[in-house]
Amino acid sequence: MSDERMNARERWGLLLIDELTDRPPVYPLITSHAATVHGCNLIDYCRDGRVLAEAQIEAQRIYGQDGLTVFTDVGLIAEAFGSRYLLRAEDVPILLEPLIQNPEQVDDLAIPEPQSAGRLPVYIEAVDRLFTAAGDRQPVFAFIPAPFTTAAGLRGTETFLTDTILMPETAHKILDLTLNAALKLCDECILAGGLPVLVDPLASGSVISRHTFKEFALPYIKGLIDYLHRYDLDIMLHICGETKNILDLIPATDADLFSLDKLDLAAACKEIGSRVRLVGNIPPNSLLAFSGHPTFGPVEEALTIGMQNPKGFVLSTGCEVPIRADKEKLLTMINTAKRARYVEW
Amino acid sequence: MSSGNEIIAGVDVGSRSTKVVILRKMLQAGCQSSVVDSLQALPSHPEYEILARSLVPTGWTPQTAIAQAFQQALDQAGLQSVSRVIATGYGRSLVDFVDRRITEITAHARGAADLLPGMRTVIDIGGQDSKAIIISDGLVEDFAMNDRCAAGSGKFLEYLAMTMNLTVEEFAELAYRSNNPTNISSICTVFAESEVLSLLAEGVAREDVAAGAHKAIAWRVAQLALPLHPQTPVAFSGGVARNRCLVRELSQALKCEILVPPYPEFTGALGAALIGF
Amino acid sequence: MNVPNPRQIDWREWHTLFRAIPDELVQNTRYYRHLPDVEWSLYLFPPSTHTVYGNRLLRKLRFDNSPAALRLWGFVLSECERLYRAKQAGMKVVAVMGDLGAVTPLIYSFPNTIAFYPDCLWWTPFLMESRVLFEEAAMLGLSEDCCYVRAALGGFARRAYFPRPDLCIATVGATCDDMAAVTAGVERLGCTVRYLELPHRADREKSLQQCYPPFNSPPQSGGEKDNSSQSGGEKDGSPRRGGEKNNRSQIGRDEKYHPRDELRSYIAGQHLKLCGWLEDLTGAKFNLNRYSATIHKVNHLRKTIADLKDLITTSGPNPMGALEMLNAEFAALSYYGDLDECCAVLDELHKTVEWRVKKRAGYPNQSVKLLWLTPPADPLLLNYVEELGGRIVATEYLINQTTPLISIENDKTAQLPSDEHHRSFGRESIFLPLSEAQLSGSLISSSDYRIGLALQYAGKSRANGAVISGVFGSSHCPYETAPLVEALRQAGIPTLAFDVVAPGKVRMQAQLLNRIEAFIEMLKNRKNANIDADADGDADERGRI
Repeated sequence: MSDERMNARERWGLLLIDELTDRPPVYPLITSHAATVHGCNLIDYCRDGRVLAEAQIEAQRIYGQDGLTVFTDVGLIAEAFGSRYLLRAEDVPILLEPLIQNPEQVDDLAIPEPQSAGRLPVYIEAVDRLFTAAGDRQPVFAFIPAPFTTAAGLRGTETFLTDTILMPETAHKILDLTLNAALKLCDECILAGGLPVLVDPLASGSVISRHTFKEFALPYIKGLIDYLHRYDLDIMLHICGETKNILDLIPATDADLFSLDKLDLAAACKEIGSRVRLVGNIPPNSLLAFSGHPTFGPVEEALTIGMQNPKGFVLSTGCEVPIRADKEKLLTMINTAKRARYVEW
Repeated sequence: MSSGNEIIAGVDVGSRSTKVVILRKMLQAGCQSSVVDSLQALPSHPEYEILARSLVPTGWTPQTAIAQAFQQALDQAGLQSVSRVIATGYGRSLVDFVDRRITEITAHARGAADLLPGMRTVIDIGGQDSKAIIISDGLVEDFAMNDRCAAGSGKFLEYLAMTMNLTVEEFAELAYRSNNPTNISSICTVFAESEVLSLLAEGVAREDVAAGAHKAIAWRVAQLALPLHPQTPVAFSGGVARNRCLVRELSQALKCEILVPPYPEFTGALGAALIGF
Repeated sequence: MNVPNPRQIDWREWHTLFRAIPDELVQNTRYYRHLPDVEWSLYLFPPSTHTVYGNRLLRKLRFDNSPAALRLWGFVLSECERLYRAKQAGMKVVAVMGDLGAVTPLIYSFPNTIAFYPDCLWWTPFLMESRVLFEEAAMLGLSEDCCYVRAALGGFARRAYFPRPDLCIATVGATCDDMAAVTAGVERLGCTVRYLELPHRADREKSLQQCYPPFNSPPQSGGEKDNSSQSGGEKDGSPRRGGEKNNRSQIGRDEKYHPRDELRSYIAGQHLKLCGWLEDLTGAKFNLNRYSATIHKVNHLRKTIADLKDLITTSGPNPMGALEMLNAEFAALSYYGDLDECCAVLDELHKTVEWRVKKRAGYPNQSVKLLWLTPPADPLLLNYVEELGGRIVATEYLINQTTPLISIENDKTAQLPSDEHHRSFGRESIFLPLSEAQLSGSLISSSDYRIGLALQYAGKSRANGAVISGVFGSSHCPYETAPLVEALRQAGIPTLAFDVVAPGKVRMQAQLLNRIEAFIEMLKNRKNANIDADADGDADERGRI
């Protein structure tokens, strides 16, 4: 597909000012899978900004997707606060020990400094390297764990969900902290050349109720987006899993793009497509070698529906591309999508 | 600017070699005594004495070369440290123990003016570029530098020497033997290389071809200098000034005598150190 | 007015300072104010916003710290989006190529019609530190032997930098050769280009009074032979200076002069032709009242820019950055797609500069006064000079066709056109004042005209030195740089001339920066020596104007 005249930055740029492009951007969420194609282990990928950047460049060279992604795990900010995570060579980091064991600790917590705390400097270095290497041709998306998800990493998911019911004030206090931490990280990512993307997997309908989303997730997502909108940045919100029960609330977050997962794309287009650009939503497990899922058909179907979306569409995966996704399947998905045309350019 | 008896180092990080000169500012004029015997060739000066000088190829790791050259000079002078360091040359930004950085234009002008008082024009052919500097009352009045490519720089001679399987020094001596330099019309180094091969294949004497290469670069440098209306006397500084053939060709191209200071490769480093006074 | 102490700050500091800008101000700073509250029309944002979208050089630049400068940057950097939004809002977008800042007043006088200057895409590869547009131009046949304006061809091909224009006009005659190659390439891309004819380049000494027309018809009056020294060459007619030969070869063998009146009429006729195209495009008849109102605004803008330049030249400490001033000067070309807002932006900048000058407030440590000739494609160079202690006190950016005030009010010949005489000959008199301004164009006038301007600016600003930033491949640079250098040097003004290095050529860039540094160092040393000499009661006037 190297004969395409338009590059990814140009394509995204036009999409974000409501202009027609040659085709929708094709942007599967290639995150830790980049480590696989680069041949590095995930501990290095998470701990070394140079490795992360090189892996993304390599993945982009192989797949030619529209955009580079800096993301390791949702615990990034929680770890910078002080939660303990286990880094693993073959899989993404997991939470070992949340920082806030006692609600009284909350008052003493300091917002982590992006230049020094935890792996935040790694993140910023990766954004900077990617932007320096390819920022004129590729947008660099810096995935930022949203306040609700980080709060769960600070407190432990179950405990935090219990807090929302039994100690809502404490939950809000934690969320204020995580919001401010996310703002600070966003600032540094912007200065390094990255466009923040908010990821809030714990705010999924698969995990929390509509009420909890409305009360504890949405205001903080909106707070973050309002802050970024003041800088005139177009913000993508990604929520994994089921989001049917909160779909009508998505425009209230003011997100410019909504990356959806297990949701009927046509229904999403109908309900919010005139207000929000949609990003999605090929099932990631269809990219596994022995999944038995077809690749070609769902892509065609998603394009047929998505390209009708009034505010625009980005062909993507519903969630992260699996670490050990089948290269050929991913390539098939991408190349199929790249054949789509709004107009001949 | 500074009190007496200060020890000042000038570091000149060129693309080919890194040079260091260490000076002591004299408390009283006329009482200098060189510490290093080998420096006797440099003229004595009433205001300073030269304690040491060193030269290390810059290579691919300039920081290492800088550290080596500086340490060598300190050892030579029997010093642990100096009062002030002034850096110059293309790699000056890489010297991290520096008090001030100046361009090689200012450094060469200052150095040449000191070594050859009364100089009005300084020509320096470096590894990466060439420059012509007009001096008036000890100040740079105007200058010109070549840019864009290796033609007109020391690299040009290096390439052509390599083409003839010679070192630069052998290439220069071979050329100096010629009384009939051939014409090499290509300005571009790449084309000049193939032109040299053609001339050799045609049977033109090796020394004439080598001298032709020197003539080409001398004329190119002259073209750089002439729009500045160079005044005599003209000095030729930098390591390439040790090349007798180039001095001869440059003299013909500029139609004037060319003076070469002693240890011309240290002119920039000396100038930098003097700026620190 | 609450204006902070003048400083030059980086994108990081602006990002933080921006939080202190009141919300109401951000919300009220809009372009296309005639459109009701469209969200996209906000533009008061810091450089970091534009960095994220690919303008990588902004991370290396330093910006003035006033809200007025922030507004100017926001306005300039939002032009690309603004052009697309204009089309979305149903406005007509006209591309003007070549040396055509002169005709934009006419374009803006039509309802809902704006102009833009695709040539200015030359600075996009530098702002983005990117070779994307040059690579595209190279694939279409224009490579490194062409001026950086070839980026415009890349822009047309990729269609992601400005919308497809509703009308594309260019020039033949005294236009840049490289631009002619670009317009030819644009036509090959399937875009219809309509041409205006400009007189050929003027001869040296005759330039202020007479020019060569592009046609071969005999002169109707005032023609005279120029067989000997009138060209300014030696008596044998041979070239005297480096630029002379090319200059003459461009004007050709026809040695007949045409009086200026005749040329004004000729250009006015071209304007009438453009007027017809615009009527066809917009479906609206030319309206003298609207035209007059537009000229009023344009004159206001031009006067503001002239005043700004004057304040910079004559002030104590430097009150505004060279880059902000470059943005201000280039506003005169096509008003960055919104004339009304452009006037407001520059008014605010003017107020800030005026206030600073009154308070004798400016940047510290910029003492070496420089005259800068020819726009530097690479914005970093202006910043670099300032960082080294230089200060740009005067400029000549080859856009002199956009500087004179257009004297429509006083022009007795201006008459309201009537429909029945819509396309009749003679009505071009309306455009005579506009033509008069266009005759000041840098590419129509001679090298002597530019040399005269350069010496005048250098004298007025008491510049310590001059910098000429040429562009390799640009047709006017080689034949003008040499005589400019010589004239300035003869006047005792040290001059540095170089070709700007394309993005990505790191080693050559380092060489260039080294030369600039050496030049500033030389001027500083000379200046200090003069000060010392003055202190000793032995003033040394060398190098002074």
